[in-house]
Amino acid sequence: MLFHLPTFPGQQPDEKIILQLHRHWFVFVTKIFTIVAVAVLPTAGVWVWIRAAHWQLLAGSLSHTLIVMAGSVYLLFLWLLLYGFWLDYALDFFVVTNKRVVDIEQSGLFSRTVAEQRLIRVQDVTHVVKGFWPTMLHYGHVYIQTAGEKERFVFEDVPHPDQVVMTILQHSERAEKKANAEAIEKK
Amino acid sequence: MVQFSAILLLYIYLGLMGILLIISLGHLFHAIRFDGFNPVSIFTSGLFIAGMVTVLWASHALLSDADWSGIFRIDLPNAQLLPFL
Repeated sequence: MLFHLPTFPGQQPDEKIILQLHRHWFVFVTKIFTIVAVAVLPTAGVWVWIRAAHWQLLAGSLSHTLIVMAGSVYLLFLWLLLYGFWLDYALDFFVVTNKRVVDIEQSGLFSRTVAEQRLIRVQDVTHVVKGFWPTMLHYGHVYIQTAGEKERFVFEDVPHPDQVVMTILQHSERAEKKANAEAIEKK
Repeated sequence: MVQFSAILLLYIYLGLMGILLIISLGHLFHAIRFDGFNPVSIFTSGLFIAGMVTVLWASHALLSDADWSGIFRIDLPNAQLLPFL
């Protein structure tokens, strides 16, 4: 993975990362296409209008100044929007350790949610792959039902959700067996 | 006829760019705070800064010849901006 970090915020000393997931890269690529379309279409529209109406847009100093100003503000705004999308994509990640599942979600610049639940409290794990591109590129949502305050975790648009489900279930069972064994030893 | 000082237009433009630059700094600070200094974050932040500098440099180059001490005039209804009206 391109930005696979060796540790994550809040990781405990004896905790080992089993899975660290980001959304599938295609999710970010669709946002790039949207931004490019929004950048190019108005420019193309104005160009066609100039040609069709024989409009001397760049003849006067005012027109030229306004076009340069409006264009630069617009482009800078779109560039900023694209970087915001990138940060939202890069700072959202899902971690499965030998002890917990952690869902870190960035919503905009000033909002960040970190939800975690112990593996032994995982009750049910399902995955959904819906749509043409998710089916072709093997990504989808993983839903984790837990016995906690946050009842349902959602890992959105993760690659190979079927493998993610299997891994979580395996480690959840392992954690439960270990917890039961420790409880018996204490008795 | 509508007329206004060219410097007013410049102030509005600089104000808008200033707001966007402040938001950009906020994004960069946010990226460093939560993503840290790793190769991907350094590369993307560098690319973002390069894009901003390119837009600012290009607009400066195109607007450097403008006479900001003058007055812009728009003759209505024959305004150059609306050829179909």
